[in-house]
Amino acid sequence: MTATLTPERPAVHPELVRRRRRQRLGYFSGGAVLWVVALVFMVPFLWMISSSLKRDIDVFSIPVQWIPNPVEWGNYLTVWTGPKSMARYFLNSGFVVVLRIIGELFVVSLAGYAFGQLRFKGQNVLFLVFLATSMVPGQLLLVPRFMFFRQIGLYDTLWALILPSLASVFGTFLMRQHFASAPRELGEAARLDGASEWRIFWSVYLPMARPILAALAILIFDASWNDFEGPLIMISSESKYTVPLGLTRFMAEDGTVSAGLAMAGSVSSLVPVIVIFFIFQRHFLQSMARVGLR
Amino acid sequence: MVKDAPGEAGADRTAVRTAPRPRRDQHRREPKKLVNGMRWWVPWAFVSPTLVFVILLLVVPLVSGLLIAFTKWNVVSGLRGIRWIGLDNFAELLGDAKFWESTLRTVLYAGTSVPLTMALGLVLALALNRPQPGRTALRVMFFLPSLVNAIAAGSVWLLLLNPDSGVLNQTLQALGMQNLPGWFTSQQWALPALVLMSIWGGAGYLSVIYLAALQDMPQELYESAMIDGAGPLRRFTTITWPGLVPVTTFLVITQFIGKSQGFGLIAYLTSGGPGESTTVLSYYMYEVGFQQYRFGYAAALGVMSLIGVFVLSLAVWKLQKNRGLYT
Amino acid sequence: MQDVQQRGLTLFARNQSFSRRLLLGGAAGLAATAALTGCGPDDAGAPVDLGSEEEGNLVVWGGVAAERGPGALVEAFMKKYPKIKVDYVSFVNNEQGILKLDTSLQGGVPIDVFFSYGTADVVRRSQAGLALDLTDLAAQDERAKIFVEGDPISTKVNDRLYSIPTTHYPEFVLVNEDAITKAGINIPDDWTVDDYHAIAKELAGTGMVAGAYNMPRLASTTLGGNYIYKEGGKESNLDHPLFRAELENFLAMQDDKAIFAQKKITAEKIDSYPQNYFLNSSYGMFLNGTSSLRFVRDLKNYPHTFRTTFRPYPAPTKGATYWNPGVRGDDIQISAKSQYAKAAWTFVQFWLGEGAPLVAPAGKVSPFEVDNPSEAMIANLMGEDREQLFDIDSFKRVVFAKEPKLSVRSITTAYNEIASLKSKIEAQVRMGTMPIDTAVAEMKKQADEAIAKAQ
Repeated sequence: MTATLTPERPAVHPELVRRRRRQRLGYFSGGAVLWVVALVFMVPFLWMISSSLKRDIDVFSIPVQWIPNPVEWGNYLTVWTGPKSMARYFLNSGFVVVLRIIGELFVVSLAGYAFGQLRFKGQNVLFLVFLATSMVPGQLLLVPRFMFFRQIGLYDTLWALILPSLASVFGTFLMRQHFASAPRELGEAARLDGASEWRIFWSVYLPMARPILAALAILIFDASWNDFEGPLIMISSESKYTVPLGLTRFMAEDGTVSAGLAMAGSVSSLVPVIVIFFIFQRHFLQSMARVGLR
Repeated sequence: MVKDAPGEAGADRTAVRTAPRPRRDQHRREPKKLVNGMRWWVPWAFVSPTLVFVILLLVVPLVSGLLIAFTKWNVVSGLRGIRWIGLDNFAELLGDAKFWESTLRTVLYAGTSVPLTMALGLVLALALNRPQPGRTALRVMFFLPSLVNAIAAGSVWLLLLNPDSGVLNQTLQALGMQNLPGWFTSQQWALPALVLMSIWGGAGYLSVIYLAALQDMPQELYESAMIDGAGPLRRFTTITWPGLVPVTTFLVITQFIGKSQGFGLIAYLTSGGPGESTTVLSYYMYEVGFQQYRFGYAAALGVMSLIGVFVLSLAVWKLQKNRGLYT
Repeated sequence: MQDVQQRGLTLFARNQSFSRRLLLGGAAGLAATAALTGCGPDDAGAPVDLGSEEEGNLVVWGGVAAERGPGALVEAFMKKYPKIKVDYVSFVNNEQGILKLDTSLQGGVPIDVFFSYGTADVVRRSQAGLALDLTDLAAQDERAKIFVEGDPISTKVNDRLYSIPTTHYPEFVLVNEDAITKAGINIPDDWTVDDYHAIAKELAGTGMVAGAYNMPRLASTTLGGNYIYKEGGKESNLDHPLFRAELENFLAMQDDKAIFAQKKITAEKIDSYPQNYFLNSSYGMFLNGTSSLRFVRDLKNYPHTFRTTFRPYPAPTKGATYWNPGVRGDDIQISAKSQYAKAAWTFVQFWLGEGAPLVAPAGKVSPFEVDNPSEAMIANLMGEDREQLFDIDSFKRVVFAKEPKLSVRSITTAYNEIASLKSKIEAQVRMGTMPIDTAVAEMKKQADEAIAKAQ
């Protein structure tokens, strides 16, 4: 048998090989570090989940017991199917959150577009005034807002939770920054062609804002889902409780907490947010592919 | 997409605008003015929904709230119980050591947690921007902390930062550290503990915003930079960072506003303690208002907080002018 | 791009007058709206009663969750008085929730009956005119008249009765009976604070983390309900030697492991869950009130095998008469703006009488059961397993004792603030970061400042 002649390997510069290997190693270890940090971030959650499956007396045992023993599934049963289950609160929160997101996204992208892309007199002053109003500590507004909503008859309704968010300076600011860094030529060309401002906004600039809108939607969801101060002041009927207010049921009037139930409630309240996050963040990932717009 | 050379297109349009109008229009009583290519009220129409809501729900309560700063009022006695005392609250405030101390603490707290959280958020966003396996899961994991309510988060961190049995100190001890920090039991370490918590709770949240901004960045700039041979660091400093200036400005201002206002966590975890070490201005306001029922004084504190944040934001705003990618 | 910007700027300059006009007009509009929202409903005296003693539409605000007792009470009430409809609204009894109730009462939210869970709240609401004067109604009621006759045994404002306590809430010591039996310790009923210290030390020696959770007080037991004020209430009493003595006790008991170290309490926030540590036998003596019973009887969440026995609050000195720091609390009040005041009074009477056993599961003992505690109430209070979980005789002996008398508070100037600063300073002393001399001086100084500011 004759030895098969193996063709010589193509001449690859050893330096390149080394660099690629280093890059791959760097890439790999960078990824590993990321995962380690992520898991460290998750430690508090693991404790929460584990506590939600414990009896009250075991929750704060020291040293920390990571695997509940015994496992108390009953906490979730009580939270969801007990005398005043949280299902109702989830519906209320869901209603408020959906309307807040739709309403706020609409209103702030309009205003952000005006501030960021359009030129009009007084816009800087107006924007600064907006900004200044948002710097007021929220507690200062609690009592006056309460009285205002009483006056207009919206006290103890879910609308009292939805409407204030439409005055979102944070959202307006974010959209303004986004629109300010969008290219002007598109709008100017369209105006020359006689397109109405509304059309320019709706068909040209708004679609480009999809990533930031998706991000803002997530943030609005997060803020409204966990909003405690607002419902505390505005809502008194238990049937209109939102989720954070509902969690206070596990705190007695003397300040003591039923720890296991409170944790089960908290973990339950996280699930919808995680789901929404998954959905929306995939969305703005996809729109990254719209390179053609640039 | 066709890119006009800016000068030419502008010149054309200017030419169009200054051309004399056709005769027909001169018969109208009011010639329609087109400013920047649109009617004057168009931008206002865009702004009006926000404007209306801001006036009703922010400005009006704000004005009422601010007026209270000039009164002595305990809310419970109703409107009859309001006593106008002019600037007395402010005079008291200036001589109140607790006011100055709590302001200092707020500056320390926000001044450390905001930059640190933003830095971590940016690093995470940069890392999560690259395609890699499990990227979605990673993003969720980093974002989750911002979703947790104060009681749950507080309870967890109390356990983690327990000076004797908590995970953090156990790790530090294993690494050979003596004199472990007392965290929530120590007056020096309670505020740093809160900073740690806020970084955990905020970095993922900020990374979401930074991620969206990064994906907004024009790819062609990167491509041409790479062709020119620019390495990753250079690409970052000349393209990425300047491009992120608008977002960073926004985040610095809003995060500072947020950090200087939040007190719910402090109220649950430390009640301003141990001692006074975590009594930041917003918590002091809460104590004065909700415990002592001195809402006039609390409002005056609020006004000071507002002024401080406003001045700072103005400074940040001025700083970032003409430093962005597009300005 | 630049000329557009320039044009924008020149336009802005030219139209300054326009925007100024806008701003002025806006400001005027704002002022008008501010004035409008500022104007609340006018309180023009007591409203006309729309119902009667047996007819009405009541809204009741309470801090106890409905499912822990009030819900059952409301149902029973509505069965007895079918023409009175009751809506029970529970509120969160923290500072924000309390303020919300205040502003709701002030702002005319329909509330007929509400609860105040602290003397300071009762006084504040009564002085603000939010509560109905119940003095005459109470004088004619079989039960409630004890609050109007003789020396005040509950909170009165300007000598008038605006609230009726619905709980008899002495403080006492819950003791892990198995632990003391095993250690051969006998606790007499007339024990003192020093005895408490010694016994706690012994218990700690048997392997528990600490003997007790908290320390019995000296000042409030010796001086009575207004112990933090000097006569007249214009100055604080925190320079009294008993406060110093308490601080010294704290340090001594901490050193002996008689009570938990402050460091541990802060690090684990034990003050929110002290019952956890009692029921898992980390410590053996627990100074508390009847609200802790609901944890002891909850074997599902707090399984334990030991029996709980009860001892009176330790005396500051042997043989002396002293006060129990507990109060008659959970004051029920009728809103001055209620449109169904008569029906509201019927409800109050029901809560005090027939309804009382129904809220017992929440740990509430009615003041009218003290003389003759019914078996029904004990059963509701302690649950089905009471024979094995509790030393019922000792409970009856301790909780329904006539002596020591429950404290009565009449001065509440800056009460919340003083309580808060006192506990902050105590915590620092216990942590070792503040020496006792400084602490006493600070407490006095800050309390005096607080009282001055509240004038």
